[in-house]
Amino acid sequence: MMDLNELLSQLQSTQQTEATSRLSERNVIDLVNKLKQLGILGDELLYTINGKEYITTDQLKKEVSLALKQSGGRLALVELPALVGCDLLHCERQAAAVVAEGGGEVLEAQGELITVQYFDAIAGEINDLLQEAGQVSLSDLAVQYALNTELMASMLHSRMGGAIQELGLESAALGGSGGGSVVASIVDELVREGALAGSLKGGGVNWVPAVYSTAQRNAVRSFYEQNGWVGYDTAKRMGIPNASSYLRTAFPDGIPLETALVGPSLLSQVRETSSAAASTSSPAAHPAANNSKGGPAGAAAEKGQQAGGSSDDEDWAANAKRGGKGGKGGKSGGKAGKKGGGAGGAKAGKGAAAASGPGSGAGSKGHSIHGGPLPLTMADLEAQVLELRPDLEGVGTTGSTSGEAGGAAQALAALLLPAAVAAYEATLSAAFTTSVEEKRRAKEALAQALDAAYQRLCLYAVGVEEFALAPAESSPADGTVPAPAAASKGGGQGGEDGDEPATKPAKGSGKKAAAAAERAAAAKERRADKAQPTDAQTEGSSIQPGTQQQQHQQQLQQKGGGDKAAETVYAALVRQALRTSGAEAVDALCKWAQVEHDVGAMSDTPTHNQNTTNSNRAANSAAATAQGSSSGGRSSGGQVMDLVKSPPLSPAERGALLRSLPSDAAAALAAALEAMASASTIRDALEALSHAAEVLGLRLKAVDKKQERAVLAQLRAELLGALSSEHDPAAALALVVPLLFMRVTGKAVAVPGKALAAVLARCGSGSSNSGTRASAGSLSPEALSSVEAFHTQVVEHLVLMGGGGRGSTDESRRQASLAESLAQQLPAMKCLAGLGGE
Amino acid sequence: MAETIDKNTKERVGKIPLLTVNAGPRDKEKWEDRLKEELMALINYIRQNKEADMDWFTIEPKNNGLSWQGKCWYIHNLVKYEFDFRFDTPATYPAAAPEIELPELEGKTAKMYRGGKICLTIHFKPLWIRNSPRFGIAHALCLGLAPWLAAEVPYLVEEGAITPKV
Repeated sequence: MMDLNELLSQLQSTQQTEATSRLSERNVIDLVNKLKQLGILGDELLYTINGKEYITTDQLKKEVSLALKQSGGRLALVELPALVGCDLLHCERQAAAVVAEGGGEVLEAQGELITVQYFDAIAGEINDLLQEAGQVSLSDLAVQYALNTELMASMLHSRMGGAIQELGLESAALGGSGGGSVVASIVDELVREGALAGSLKGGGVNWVPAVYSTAQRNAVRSFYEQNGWVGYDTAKRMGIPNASSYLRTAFPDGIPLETALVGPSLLSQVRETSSAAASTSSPAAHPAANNSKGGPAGAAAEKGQQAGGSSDDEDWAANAKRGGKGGKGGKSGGKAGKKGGGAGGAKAGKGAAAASGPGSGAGSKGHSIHGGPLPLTMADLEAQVLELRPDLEGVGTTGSTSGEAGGAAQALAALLLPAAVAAYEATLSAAFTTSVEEKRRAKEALAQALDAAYQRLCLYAVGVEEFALAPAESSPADGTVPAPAAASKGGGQGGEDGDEPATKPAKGSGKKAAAAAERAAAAKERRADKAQPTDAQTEGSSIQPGTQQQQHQQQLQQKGGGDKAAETVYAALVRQALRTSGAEAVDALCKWAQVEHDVGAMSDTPTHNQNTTNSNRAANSAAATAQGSSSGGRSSGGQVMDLVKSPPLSPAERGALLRSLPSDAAAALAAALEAMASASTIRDALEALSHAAEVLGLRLKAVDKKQERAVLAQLRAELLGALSSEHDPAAALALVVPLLFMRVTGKAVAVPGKALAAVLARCGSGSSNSGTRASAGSLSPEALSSVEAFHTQVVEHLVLMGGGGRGSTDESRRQASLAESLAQQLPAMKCLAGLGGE
Repeated sequence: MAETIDKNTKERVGKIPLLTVNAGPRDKEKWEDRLKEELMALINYIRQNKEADMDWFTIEPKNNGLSWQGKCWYIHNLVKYEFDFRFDTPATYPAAAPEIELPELEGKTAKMYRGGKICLTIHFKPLWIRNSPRFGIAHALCLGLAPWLAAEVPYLVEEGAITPKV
């Protein structure tokens, strides 16, 4: 055991040793709070992210700087909290403090802390890259180092010559967004040094070599010197953008016109020519002499003459074409002068007059009467005056020589000349400036008319089947089935001829079978027509007296149920439909083709078969228009829309149209015309019409069920409208019967006079025999009998009116009583047809 | 006893070596051995306290171990309150427990006898009697003075009877 003194000293030393400090977290937090409350620590003490540590702002700033160094000089602020364990807000504050205290050594950009050393390092890398590649895109560098382009550019430019060694074209090598300007500056420098000859245009984008500019100037000057004028279009084609100002600057002595710059030499030439023409006093021989004022208008006119003779002058050709498409075709000067001067020259003269002011109008007019057909020379005008007023011949002449001027006729011609020229030019202008819009409107209107007629014809095609299918029209006695009726049964039976026993099975569909049946019926009808007069005399709603007996016979035949009578009715209905709506449709198609193919030399577009050149056509058109020619003038000028409302084309006009159309179109249209005249069924005519329209470029849509109802309603409204204003019993009957048929069967037919009785009989039989459509209504026996009585009286009245009787007094009284009776029955008939309530 | 002494105190007092020599001041030869064991126990206890950052007293024997004096302190609300203490070794020691005096606190609390002797009758003396002669002065400080300070100093501070010695 130890000595007592040693123990005492050990006790003393043990008590003097420091106790190990073991403070709990709670104690420490309490202590820190206490220190804060006492103001010893202040507010600079921050918590760490985990909440278990305190850190001062100074320490945080040091740690931020340390983290930036450890990361190589570039550190995103968002990475600081993870590195230093403090909130991002405190990190950002201390980062800002680091940047502020860095003295430019540290930058804060794009949410990152970047040191100058980092920039130096990447500048070195870029320098190595430049040495290897020779060119580095600034945008590529920006992407590679994830820096924005501006920062990258500023950094690199500040190190140019330092970290980035000087190269020959180091600025250009650093391409990118500023590359264009760099190139431009380099090129400018080279131009100043004389290494390059040329200039940069278009904001430094386009390089124009000096040789090109020289060649351009030489070409323009050469053209000007050779021709005495330069067109603005010509200069533009030579690559001069602002031709007008360029030419004015390049040739200050020239006279600027609307489309060209004319030199003084040409002007003097025109003046000389004018003087020579004036001295010979022969306007026709020297047309330029009528340019009384000379000046720019005369120069332009003379230019037109010359341009007609120079085949290589495309510029004037363009001008002449714009004026009337007349200046290009001629090879010799005189010929071109006649053709081009008549049309194109007039236009050019007008344009020049507009450009040079009112004072030059006379020159324009004077020019317009030279050359070409010469419709408005003074001599012609004087001759026409004398022709209209022969009494003026010799009046007012003072000299004995016939060539001496001063007569009253000549004075009158001189007085009329300006107005005549103005009218001529207006007509000429109208001939060439027919608006495309007007043409389009005309075509639209014609296409609509064609559609309406086509749809109505489709309706009639359905309506006539009602008669082809009617079993009542068949002849049960002879044991045969009518072809149409057989066809309507879906091909079960059918035949080429209605008289044949229906033993051949129809292979086609129902429609085809129906068409075949129609054709068969039509063939039979044609045979019957040889023996019977056609209903050509009964065209329209008027019933001619000569056909009444025939109609009566037909009625008797129908009453007897004869097969022949049924076929006759069917054929009559078909012919009536084709002669009304079919004719309208084909006429609209012809007019449409006339407008479309510009028959009459109206359009600017070339036609298929016209071998004449545009210039010839234009000249002919101009001449024809000016002379008031009626041939082909219907569709020219402002008369395009008149074509829509004009009466149907005459056979001669149709023939001319067919001759002027392309062969395929002409053939198709001719087929359609033939079909309308002689088709045995409506469907055949419809097919021919549709084919012709398709060849001409129109598509006719077949009428579906919905459209059929709409068209039917429209047709009914039209018939009712016509009926409401009709006071003639015969004409009213022709309207009442289709309306009654429409009411009973829901179908439409175009009823000729001789088929009225048959249609009425069908109305009396009730609904459609085909059973495909429910009848809209049926006629009561009383109503039917009243209509039939009305019909009988109308027939009788017409017979009496046509002199069917002997003209006795009794017949006159009978005629008067019939007229009175018909007039009394007419309102009832109208009411029965659906007008004003039923 | 089990209720009055907490678990931590039990662990600490368990680490203080028990004494083996049953001798008092009147036993001249054996007292020195007893005193050596007392000093070794104190050294051990003080070392434990310092290691556990629970150092709370200093002590020094006087007159060959017949009297003891030193300083004790207690931290309440982060404020250290320090007191002088002393006691004499009883003649019947170790059968009788020493009576520890805090002279400066005399008259300031009811848990004190006349002369500044702290009241250890209820909790400490029965424990001492049961463990005599194995308990020594270190045990008396650990089980007597330390609990008394923990119980009375906050009360005295709240009463305003004592102030910290800055």
